[in-house]
This record gives sequence, structure tokens and C-alpha cells, in this order.
Amino acid sequence: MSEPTYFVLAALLDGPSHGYGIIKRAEELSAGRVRLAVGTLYGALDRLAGDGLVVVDGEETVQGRLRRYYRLTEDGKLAVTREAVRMEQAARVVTGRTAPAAWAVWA
Amino acid sequence: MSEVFTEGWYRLFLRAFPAGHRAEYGDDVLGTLAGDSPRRAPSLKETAGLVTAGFAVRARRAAEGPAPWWADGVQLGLLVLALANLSYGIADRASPWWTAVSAALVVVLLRGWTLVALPLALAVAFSTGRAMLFGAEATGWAPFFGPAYHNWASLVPYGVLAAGSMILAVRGPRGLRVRPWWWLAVPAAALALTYGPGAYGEIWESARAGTEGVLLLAGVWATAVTRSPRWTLAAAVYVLPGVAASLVHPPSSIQIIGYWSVLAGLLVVMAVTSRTAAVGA
Repeated sequence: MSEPTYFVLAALLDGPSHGYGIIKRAEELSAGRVRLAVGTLYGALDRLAGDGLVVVDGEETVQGRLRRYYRLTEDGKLAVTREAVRMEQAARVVTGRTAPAAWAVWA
Repeated sequence: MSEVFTEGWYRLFLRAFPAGHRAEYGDDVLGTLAGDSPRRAPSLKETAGLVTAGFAVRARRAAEGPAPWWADGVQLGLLVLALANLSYGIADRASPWWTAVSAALVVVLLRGWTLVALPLALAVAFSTGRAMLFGAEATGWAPFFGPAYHNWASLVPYGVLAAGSMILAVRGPRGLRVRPWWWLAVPAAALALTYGPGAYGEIWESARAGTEGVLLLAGVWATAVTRSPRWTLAAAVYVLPGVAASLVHPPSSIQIIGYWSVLAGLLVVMAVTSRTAAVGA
């Protein structure tokens, strides 16, 4: 799973959100590292919807524009959780063998 | 810059996405692009994002099509060979009959009409190979024939065209893609370069090399996105006959050797890419 895809799914863990909300939340969660272009987000949403990881939760019209909300499916929650566990295990391989002082450089 | 201009700008680049995707997400994308500051000027990053994401969606849809990857790859490779044949026919100012046959072959391959493509591909192979099959006097046969080649190496692409069309005809048209008409921009450019003032020559060669380079790079990128080998097969159908001809009759110009080396290199990159992890998975 790519980092942008991971953060799109992670952004939806708090509940349904619209495109702009997902972009902002992903940026926040990644401490500014993942700044998704809108086209990239909708390419990812299309793929994730095709894989059954997200679905459209509803839509509304705001200032004459359609705004669609997306939410995680159970499979989506499972996929992002599984990826988080995998990365945690991979991280432990290193963090378990280095001093905490060394982590501060990257924090 | 006005909100109308900005929206029009993004709408233009939204066309990089397939029509179905635009219908599904288009308004939502524009709303998200407006974000919390709807009057800002178009962003270069967002514009590039629309183009790359749009073509990535197109590549994925192509790779998920109902036809097996090899049939899709053969169809695309044959289409590119047929486009090259038509473009050279135009450049050689071939007879209207011959140009019509070559154009018809392009159109039927675009539409995926495999049974109609076969006789046309056989006609092209027969015409280009007639001097080798029946002697040099066959070059002067009836005016509806096109250029004839006088060595077997130059005939390899046409043999591939005929063999590939035979394979597709036997398989049938099931699930083959109907490809977009913008491929006709290639013979349109050939027409402009042939009949434009003083254009034929170095400009023609540069345009040809540029088009091939751009298409092969697009193939590398589509392969990176999807990991599908279909573009590698299509590129091989086009590049390998040319490389084989260059090996049999080594070109005297270092430029031509370099040119075929670059095409072969891009083909190798594509083949390697198809065996590595997909981008953005």
C-alpha cells in the first residue's frame, strides 16, 4: 500500500468525509508530509472504491456544487489496520535495537 | 484571475480522465479543487495532478479490460505498425488506392475489427514484399500497389503485421478495445509534414523519433502504474522488427544506430518495469 493510499484510508477512520476534508486530514495526520493533489485523491478513491475499501456515504450541494462524502467499509478498516500492524512490526525491527535518543533526529 | 477561468482551466485538464470517471467524480473534483479559496488562480501542482491521475486511471481501465493482455498488446502493436505504414505511404506520396488501403487498415485496427483487418494486412504484406516474391519487375505493377522493398529485413514489420492480424482473426474480436480517434493525429501530422512548405526531411525524422519516444515513455509509465505486460508486447511488435533490420543491415549513420538503441533501451526498461511493483498500489 502506498503512503498516500494509507493516509487516505487513515483519514476516513474518524468517519465519513468529503474530498477536501480527506486532503486536509491526510496532511494533518502525516505531519504535512502527504499533500495530495486533488486528481491523485480521486484516482485513489476510484481505485479504493473498485477494491471495495471505500464507498460513497452521501452527497450534498454546497454553494451550487456537489459535495460527496466517502466512508471506509469494513474491508477498508481491515486493510488499513493490517497495513499499520505490518509497518509497526517492521518499525520494531529497528526501534527495538536502537536507543530512543536516535529517534529524536527523525521525530 | 476569475473563478470562471479557473474552473474552465481545471475542466479542460479533467479531460485526462475517462468519460465515465468524469461523469462519476467530475463535479466533486471541481468542488474539491475550489476548496476554501474558490477565487485563486489555477495551481500548477493540481493541473499536473489531474493529468497524471487521469492517465493513470485510463491505464488501469485499459489493463482491466475484458481482452487478455496479449491480445490487447498485439492489437496495439499492429495499430502502431499500420500507422507507420500509412505515414510512410503519405510521405512517399503513394497512390490514392494504396493510401486508402493503408488508412482502412488503421481504422479497422482502431475499431478492433479483426476479420476485416486480416485481408488488408495481407494485402499490405503482399504489396511491400512483391519484388522479393516475384522479382524486381513486380515493382511496376498496377498503380493500386504501394512501395515495394528489395530486401527481406525491411519486410519483417510487414510480416509481423500479417502474422499478428492472422492471430487476432483466429482469436476473434471478443473484448478487444475500440481505441480513440486521436490516434489519427499521427497520419494527420504526416500529411502536414509531407505537404507543408519545406517540412519533409530532418523535421520529419525528428517528428517521427519524438512521437516514438513519447509513446514508448507513455508505455513505460502505464506499465509502472499497472504492471501489465501489454504495453511491452505492443512496443516489442513495433521496435523489434526495426532492430532486427538494423542488425541485418547495420546503418552507416551513428545517429540511426543511436536512435534504434534508444528505442530498444526503452523497450528493455518497459519489460523490466512490468516485473516490478506497481506505482501507487
